[in-house]
This record gives sequence, structure tokens and C-alpha cells, in this order.
Amino acid sequence: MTARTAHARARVAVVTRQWGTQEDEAVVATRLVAGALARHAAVDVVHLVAPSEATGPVADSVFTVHRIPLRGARPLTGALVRTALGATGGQGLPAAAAALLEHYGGEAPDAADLLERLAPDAVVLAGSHHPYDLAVLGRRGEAGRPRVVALPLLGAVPPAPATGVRRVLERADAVALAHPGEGDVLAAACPAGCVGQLVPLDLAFAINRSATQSRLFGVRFFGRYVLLLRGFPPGGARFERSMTHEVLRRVVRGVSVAEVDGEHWRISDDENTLELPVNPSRVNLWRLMAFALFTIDVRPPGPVGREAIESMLLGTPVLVPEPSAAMQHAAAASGGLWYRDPGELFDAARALMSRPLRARLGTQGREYAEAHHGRMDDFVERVRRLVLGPAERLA
Amino acid sequence: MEDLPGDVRVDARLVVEHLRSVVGNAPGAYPRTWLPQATFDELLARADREPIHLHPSLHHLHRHWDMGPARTNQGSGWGPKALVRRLLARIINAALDRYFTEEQEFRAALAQSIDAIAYRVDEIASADERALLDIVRDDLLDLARYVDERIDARLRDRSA
Repeated sequence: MTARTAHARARVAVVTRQWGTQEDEAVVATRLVAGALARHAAVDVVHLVAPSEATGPVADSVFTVHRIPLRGARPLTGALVRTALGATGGQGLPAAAAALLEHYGGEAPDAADLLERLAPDAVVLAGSHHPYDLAVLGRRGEAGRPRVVALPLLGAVPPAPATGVRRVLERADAVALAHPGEGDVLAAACPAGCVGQLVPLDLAFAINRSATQSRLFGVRFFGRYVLLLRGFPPGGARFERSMTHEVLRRVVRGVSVAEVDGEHWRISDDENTLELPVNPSRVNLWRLMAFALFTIDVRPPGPVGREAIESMLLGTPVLVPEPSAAMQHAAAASGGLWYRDPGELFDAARALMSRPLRARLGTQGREYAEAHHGRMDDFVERVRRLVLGPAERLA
Repeated sequence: MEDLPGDVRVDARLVVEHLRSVVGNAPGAYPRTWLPQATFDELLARADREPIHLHPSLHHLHRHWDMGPARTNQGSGWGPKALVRRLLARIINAALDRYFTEEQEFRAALAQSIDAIAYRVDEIASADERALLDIVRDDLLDLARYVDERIDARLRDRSA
């Protein structure tokens, strides 16, 4: 690959399996990074797609998306193996299952050829599955090769050693961290210094604060409430557990419980239940969050912990599962508590009924979230420096 | 937690550790990884209901909706009172025959409808109870698994 002249607009290739319009955390993170880069560079997205999907180039907003087939991919079988053999949310897979998943992920030999043709100045490898010849990216420190930045989005549980994460990390000049604990996760996946620079990405999320000035329609009648996040966004994964709305209501006695479960949102106190007649949108979620005493997240953990960040941005403490990206944010911010099992969840929920503790965690969480995740311009500059300029070195 | 001093920063890690140490000092107080679904009370309350189709008012309705015997009853006796009553009954029946026929049909339809509704309500209630029993069954299976794991863990500890 050849580097471009200094005067031309830089060209960046983002290679990923996670692209589209869905609100999946990995997709959102990848789009945010690509969007930030688009302010300073021409961005080509190399989207690795399952064979059943259409391939070829297509325009998507400011991006040119090149859809490359993942040959031999068996996404449904892979999802079944992940669900059946993984712990919470399919994480913490045994090594044999992880190897199977690599196999079911398919191969995309055409991606290497395309990268060669695009000759980008920088390449962002988003996600950990890159089943093509990474030699096309050259070796770290090699002259004339594009800058390679990995955005592994690993979550909070180290991947099994057999996975291809290591191949990606070994090629990367820098690794963008989606949460404060991802450095430790990477160290477990790729010991002995095979990881390049570790740079906190601190994804920025825009919150529509004016939309949160008024309570969500229907909740006023129920007074104070805690928010239980069981499924969001609609259509995403749910966390089936014996912990229920009713048990939680007994724990937080005298306070209502608002539950977000995909399309079904409801709020109830000891006597009344109301199915909230609202559109299950993110703006309405913010409205619920903004007036909640605290937000309890019982969903399978995602790689970013977006809703925990948003809750803290709105000054509402969070109660999140351990391990998770959300827990790492809550710990770094001291903006919430975390639990390992339902018993701990209820203990922590009881503790959060203390107004002084809640107020303190809410303030600390907001300060942290605003400083790290609330300023979009800072995020754009951070991504620019990480991918196109000299990256910050993590102390 | 109510006595947090001034503007001191709260370390969430310390709070979580404190909560865990409190529980750690009282092990076995209650299951930590299993909790019931809080459906038992509700189930008992619902199971206590009598089926609607056994309600006494429904039996009364079934016994009294039919006006036929009352209309065809000729009465007994041959005294002047009985003759006058029989004559009046015949006149009234003849005059209001169409009304009584419609009334009879209406009462029959009403009794059938209420009966059908009662049975339908009972069916729905039974389905509801079956669903609740399924939930309780799942809870019990959950508990069985939990107890099983605890026993295994205890046996492992002893053998170690």
C-alpha cells in the first residue's frame, strides 16, 4: 500500500462486521468513530457481511460502504453456540466454543484485496473478527504502511485465547478502549506486550436535555420510581432471570418501579399498573431516566455500557452487572453500584434508597460522564489524533 | 448511608465492598443466587376463588327462568274464587300471549348467555392458574438447582 501526499484529504478505511442502522452497541460505537473521522477524512467502510446479504459498494450517509462477503459464515449456528455455551450475554466462552465461533464467523479473503486497492492512510479494525490476511497491513513500525488502530470492543470478559483477537492486536499501532477496564481485558487476551498503545476512546453520546425537562407521559401519578432496564433498544437481547418487577418493588418499598422491556414499558406501585402508552424511543428512555431515583440494568452487558453513561449524564446513579463495561464506567465515576447476583442487586438497591448516597453518586456520575462522554467536539478531536495524528500514550 | 458527611467524595468501590462484607459476615441468611418470583401469594389468592358457574345466583337463574309451568298451571278447586282466578288467568294469558312468549324467549336467551359467560370466565381463570402454576414450577426447579449446587459445593469443600 502507498501513503498519500500530505496535501490530499486523508483516506481512512474502517473494517468491521458491525455496520447498519440497528442500535446495537458495537454498531453505534463503530458509526460514532467513523462519523468523527469523516470530519477530517474520506471514510471507506469495509463491511464484512454474511453471504445471504447483498454485496458491493453502496453510499451510506457520508460513507462509502464496500460490502464484502464472509464466505462460509454461519451466523445462526454461531449465535446458538454463543447462547448455549456462554455465561451472561454469551461472554466467558470456553476455549473450544470460541474456536467454533471463529470457524462459524466465516472468511473474507476479498477484504485484503480491497484494502490494497483503497490504499488508505489509516485503517480502523473495529470488532475482533477479521478473518482475512492481515499481512496486507504490514507490521507495526514498518515504513510506508497505514496507521492501524484497533477498536476491539471486547466488553469486560477476556476472550478465549484461541480467538483471532491476538492477530488484530499484534498488527495495531494503537488500541482504542471503549471502557476503563478494557486495558486489563486486552492484557489477558494478548500478554507479553503484544498490544500497542492503549488509548481511552471515551465515546461521546449526545443527550437531548430539553427533551428531559418534562416527565414521561403517565408516570407523574406514580410519584417516585426506580427504572428497571430489562430490554432496550426494542428487539435486542433480554435477560431472563427470576428477578422480577414485583420482587424489586418489595425491596424498594413505597417507591414505584418503571420497567423498560423492549416494546413494553410499564410502571407500577403496590396497587396500580400502567402500560405506558409511549413510543419506545431513546428520547423517552432519557425522560424516564432523568426523573428516576436510580437506573437498574439487568440486560446482558454490551461492549460500551451506553445506557449507564447516559443515565450518569442525566445525574441518575446506576446499578449494573459485574463484570460489564457499564460497571467499569460506574466504578471509574463512582456514579453507581454493581452486583454479581440477584441477592447483591437487591442489597445495592436497598442501599441506593438512601437519599444522601444517591445524591452523591448522581453528582459524581454526572461530573465524570460530562467530562469523558459529554463533549462531542472533544471526542472528534480525540479520534482524529488517535487515527490520523500522533496518539496519546496511556500513562 | 444516611449519615454521609459534608461534601466528601463517595467511593463506589468501598460501598460495594461494604455491602458484600455485611452479607459475608452472615452467610446462609438467605439464598444469594436464587429468589422466588413473588407469585405464591398471588397464586394462593387466586386459587381461593370459587368457579363462577357454581355461584348460587346462577342456580337460582336456571331454576326460575322458565315461565311455562306458571302459565299452564290451571290451578285446583272448583269454588267461586278458583273459577274466577282461572277465568282471569285465561283472559290475561290470551291478551298477553305474545308478550309472554317474547319474555320467555328473552329469559331463555339471557340464562344461556350468562351460563356461557360464566363457563368462559372459569376457563380463562383456569388458564391463568395454569400459567401461574407453570411459573411456580419453574421457581421450584430453580430452587432445586440452587440446592443441588449448594450441596455439591459443600461436598467439594469437605473433600478438599
